[in-house]
Amino acid sequence: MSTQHQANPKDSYLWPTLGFFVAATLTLIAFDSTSKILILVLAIAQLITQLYFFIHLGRGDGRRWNIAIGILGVVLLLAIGIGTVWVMNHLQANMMPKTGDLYINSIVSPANETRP
Amino acid sequence: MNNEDITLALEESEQATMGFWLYLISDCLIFAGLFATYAVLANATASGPAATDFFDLRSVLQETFILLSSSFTASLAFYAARRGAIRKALIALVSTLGLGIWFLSIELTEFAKLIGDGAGPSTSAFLSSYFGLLGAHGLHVLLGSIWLVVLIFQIRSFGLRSEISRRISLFTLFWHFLDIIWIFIFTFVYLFAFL
Repeated sequence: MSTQHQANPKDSYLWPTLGFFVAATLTLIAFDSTSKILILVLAIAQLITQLYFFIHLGRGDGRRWNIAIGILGVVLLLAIGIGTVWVMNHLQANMMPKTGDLYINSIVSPANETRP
Repeated sequence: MNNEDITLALEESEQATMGFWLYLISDCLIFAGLFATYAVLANATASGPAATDFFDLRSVLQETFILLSSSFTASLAFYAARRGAIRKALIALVSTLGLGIWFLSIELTEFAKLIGDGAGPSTSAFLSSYFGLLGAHGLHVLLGSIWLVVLIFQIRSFGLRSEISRRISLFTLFWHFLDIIWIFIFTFVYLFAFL
């Protein structure tokens, strides 16, 4: 009928406030930098910051399966993202004809090349 | 309420939370596909504009802080609801809604301008993937905002009953997830375009 009104000290408004400032700082640094790697690191740092301070992944009850599901999600995302880019890169590389092929089938031959 | 009812209520709540996490992960998979598509097609600009032609980093920074702030207010709402501070929870939720609508208005204005300039989603593969990714995110924000409106009315009608509290926590989880997706959007789409 009524909800629990526990005054739990770890439920203070400090957590999201701290998280906000850390995330804001990471954001400003990222917008100001010129290194892709640094920006990537900052993005991951901000991801962890938001997960920890806002969603409290890794704090509180049930954190074990909490973190486990979180890690599973990240692994799946990386698999899809990196996998797609990797596969498409290979596809593009394999589309380019090897030098010999063009001459063997007479697609290109010195006789057919125009000269200025 | 006898013990059986209490046990059932707990199980339902846990099931709902687990189910929602499962939904969020599946949503992440959708975004992963959209991100991967964008990564592959980012340079396929056909005869249309490239990223650096129209990306406005100042606007993106503004959108980022709006969304970050809305995530912050959503968190405040969650903690307020946990303590039973219904008035503070409502103020925080209304703030979240306001910030979300602000974000949407900026994004929709940008989209309208792009389409008006002939740089719509059908102009090039790059633009298709750009609109797909940002559009999907924006759609999530829009639907989340509609959910938030309904939630606010429910809180006003029913107070902080256990189901309402649960919905508040699930909503804030969803909203944080949207901000997290945005982190990767501004990183991989906007910031990387200039490097």
